[in-house]
Amino acid sequence: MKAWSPLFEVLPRSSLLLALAAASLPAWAQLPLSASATASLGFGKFAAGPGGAVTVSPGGVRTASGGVVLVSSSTGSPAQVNVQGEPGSLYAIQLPADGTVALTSPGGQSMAVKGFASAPSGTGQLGGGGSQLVSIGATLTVGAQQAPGDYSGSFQVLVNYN
Amino acid sequence: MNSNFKQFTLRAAMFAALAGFGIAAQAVEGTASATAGVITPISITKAADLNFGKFARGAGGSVTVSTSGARTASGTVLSTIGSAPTAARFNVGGDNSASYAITYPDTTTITLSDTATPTPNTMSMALVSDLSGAGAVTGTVASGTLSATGAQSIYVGGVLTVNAAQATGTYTGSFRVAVEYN
Repeated sequence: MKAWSPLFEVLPRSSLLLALAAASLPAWAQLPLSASATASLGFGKFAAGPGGAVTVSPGGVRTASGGVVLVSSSTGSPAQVNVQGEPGSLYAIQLPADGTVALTSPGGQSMAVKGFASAPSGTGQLGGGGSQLVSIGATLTVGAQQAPGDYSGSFQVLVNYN
Repeated sequence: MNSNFKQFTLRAAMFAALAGFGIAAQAVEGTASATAGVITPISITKAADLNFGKFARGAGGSVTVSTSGARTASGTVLSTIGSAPTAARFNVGGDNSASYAITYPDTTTITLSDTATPTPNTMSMALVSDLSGAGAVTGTVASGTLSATGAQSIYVGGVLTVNAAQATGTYTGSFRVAVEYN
């Protein structure tokens, strides 16, 4: 028994040390990610007419298609999400899938939001200060004679360390 | 006994390590809002025509109908017989309190013609407009703001130039007023 016992005791201890090191690395060396919206996605004002779509790009450019007439005194604005975490680290950005987000009016009418796009797209990298601003645009589907009113809704953005 | 205890400790440590990785890899969700404003399409309808009434050419000059429909003459002789002069009125409808641009696609100088053949006689007319019908006799309005209930009227008068040898007859013409949200 005493001939091999010391050897047996050394092995588990070294393994234990490795295990603790592995456990502490992600928890202490990498700050947890957080994401908070600092600006909402605005499609501005427009007349629906025979219907069509309004697109706001991540850069904030608003365009109309179909019969939608944009009111030039109002502008589109991309959503902005501030992602914070470990400086310099890469992370994945997951935007809502088509068919999952809609804007609704107080009167109960709705318009679907699809084609979410972001800048940066797909993968972001936090800056030296541990944060990055992600701009998000999308396309709003406008029905023919869509009922006038103020429409609003919300959507979720997932971020995850790569 | 001793060796069993060591193995148990080791397993606990490994479990902690996995849990640590699990926390760091957890996806984080941010919620953003989105907004859009659908507004009533803008519309315009003619509610009254512009009418200069009857007059004699006299020495030639002009006949002016203000945006309130009041008529004045310069060099011409107005007749009080026949149709009464009126300013044109256009009713604009749309989104509550929205601002809009007003344009005159035919330019602000319009030609009125009679039915003479083969060459009709003509008179030219300069448009005058305002948003109050307050009697403007010069200038045109280029923008407006709909009321809190989404309505406004545009009043249009004109200054008609009459030649000293202007042929007798009935002269007609048309002009357009266009509105667009801005």
